[in-house]
Amino acid sequence: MASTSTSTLSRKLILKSSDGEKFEVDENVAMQSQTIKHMIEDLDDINSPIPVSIVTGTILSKVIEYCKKHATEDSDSDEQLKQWDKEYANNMDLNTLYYLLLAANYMEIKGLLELITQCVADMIKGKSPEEIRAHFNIKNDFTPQEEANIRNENPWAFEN
Amino acid sequence: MENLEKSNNGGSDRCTRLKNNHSNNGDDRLSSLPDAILINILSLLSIDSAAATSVLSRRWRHLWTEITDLEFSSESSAFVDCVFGQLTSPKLSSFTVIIKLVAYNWESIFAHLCHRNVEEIKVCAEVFFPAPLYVPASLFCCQSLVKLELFCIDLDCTFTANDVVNLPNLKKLGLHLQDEARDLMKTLFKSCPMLEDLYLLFDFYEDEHFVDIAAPNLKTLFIEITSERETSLDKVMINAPKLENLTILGSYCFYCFVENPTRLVKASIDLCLGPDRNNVGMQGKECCNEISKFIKGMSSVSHLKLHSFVNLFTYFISVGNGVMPMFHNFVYLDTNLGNLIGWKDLLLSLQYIPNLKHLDVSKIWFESVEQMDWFAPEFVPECLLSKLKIIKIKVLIENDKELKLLEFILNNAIVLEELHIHCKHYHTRKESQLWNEYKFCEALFKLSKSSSTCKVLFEGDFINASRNDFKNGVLACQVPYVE
Repeated sequence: MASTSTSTLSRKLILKSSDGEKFEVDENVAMQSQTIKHMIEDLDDINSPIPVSIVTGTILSKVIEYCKKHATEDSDSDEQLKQWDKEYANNMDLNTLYYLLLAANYMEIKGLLELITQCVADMIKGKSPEEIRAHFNIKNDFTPQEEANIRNENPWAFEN
Repeated sequence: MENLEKSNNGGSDRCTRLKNNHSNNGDDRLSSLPDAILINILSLLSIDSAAATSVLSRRWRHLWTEITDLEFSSESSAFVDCVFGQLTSPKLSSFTVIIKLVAYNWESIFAHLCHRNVEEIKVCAEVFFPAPLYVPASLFCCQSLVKLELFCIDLDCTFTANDVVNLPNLKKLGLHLQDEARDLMKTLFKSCPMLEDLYLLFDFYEDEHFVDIAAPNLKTLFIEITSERETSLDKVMINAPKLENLTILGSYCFYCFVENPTRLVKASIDLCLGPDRNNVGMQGKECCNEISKFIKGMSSVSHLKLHSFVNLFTYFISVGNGVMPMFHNFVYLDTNLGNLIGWKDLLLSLQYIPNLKHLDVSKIWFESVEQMDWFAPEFVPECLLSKLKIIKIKVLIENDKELKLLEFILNNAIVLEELHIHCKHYHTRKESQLWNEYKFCEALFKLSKSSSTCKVLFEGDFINASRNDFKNGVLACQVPYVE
């Protein structure tokens, strides 16, 4: 498969999700992922689909949405971009957030990883352990005695 | 391609595990995320919130001890040693404390932080905090430090002339220092080769401090000196050839550049916060001489704010005070003047600022207006003739001598687009004031101008009007209620 001619201005790459969905994206959009950047460097033929093996099509489309927004060097101010990020994260349900975290981590997209990490941290902030368990469906596998012992180790952590 | 897929197998497994749970909505997917991600999340929480996650479940039992960013904001301090005793991460990226009403064992904290190769330390106080922050000399040998910011709090610094500084990676430094840090001031700011951003607050009660700043990579410098003394002999020597932004606030001190910074773009010098220096003695004159030489060293600047009780423009143009260079990049000047003598000195100084576009002149409040009459300078500065587009002036309208000045400006400023006249007193909202404003506006709007498109705008306590509101000798504008 010989490499066909590609425009140097805006080369297109094809990303293939774990469930076989293909996405055509501009190179500068995909290059926000350090992982893909490194893959391309080793690739002879950029026309063949690049596998993003652990990310499903649904999640990959959301990742691409983020990368597109952050790839364009248009007139969006930092403030506008922050607002966009906020809305982007707020529109995700918990499940999507987890998969986005995994995807951003695997694809090494620093901005997206920081955004979602902060979003989950904000959900934990200000909640008691009981509220955190309820919010995230965390099952308490300690006996009451064990839990009391742990609380006694660092009582200052439970004062507020 | 095969290789690539193989190398990602680890990740693939993790994902399958998550996916299998997908159908079951009541499942705890957060806990199934990899440790590294969870530790990142916990690092964004304050230390007590992070530690409180230890009771969630066995999965979370010890995760918090691996966090790399510590943020303390708790009101109890006894736990600090306890926290450091449990932490397992060998390298800390940041340590932040918002001090509340407790005294911390700083010696122990700083020892722990240095031991853990901390990169960033930030301590600030929400409100005034009475006890000083104890800073051991050993902190200045913490080689991993990249940022050190100890704000809003007095430092009790044990640094002596025999102590050494070894901060090879420090890029950002912010400190609030007092007389006791005398030895530190002489060495610290010339011993950080990577320093890019320096923010310094000084409170001086004693005299003759020497602040030596020599930083080859410094880009931003902020210095505020509050001196209790009327005439200060404090000296600040700056050797920062790559400096781009400079802010100096507070008292008149002996500032000087060792080498003039050729990349300086913005400078803000506001000396109106120190003691009132209206009547400068011999020492004050010497100091103003030094400051004027210092400003002459900023010839690359494009934006300058220069506020001073003393008319520094006199010093710029006086013979025997060194040559005034041409400021070719200079486009924006924000300054303050006391009277028309100051104005004349400013206009004379403007001949060295050929490209000035925007001039903003406010009034020094305590200067009286009875003064010499306005004499137009012998020549008109180039920038007034061909470059100045916006001029904002604060006036005292009791004085019609200022009208002569405005006439001079309007007659000569050919490309002027806007002339703003501000006259706000606030405390004298009297009817007589309204009449004064009206008379002043009338006279102002009658002045001839050489720029036909120039807008003339007046903003007073009562009247807000533009030249367009003035037709056939009648001023049409809204006047608010007069007491």
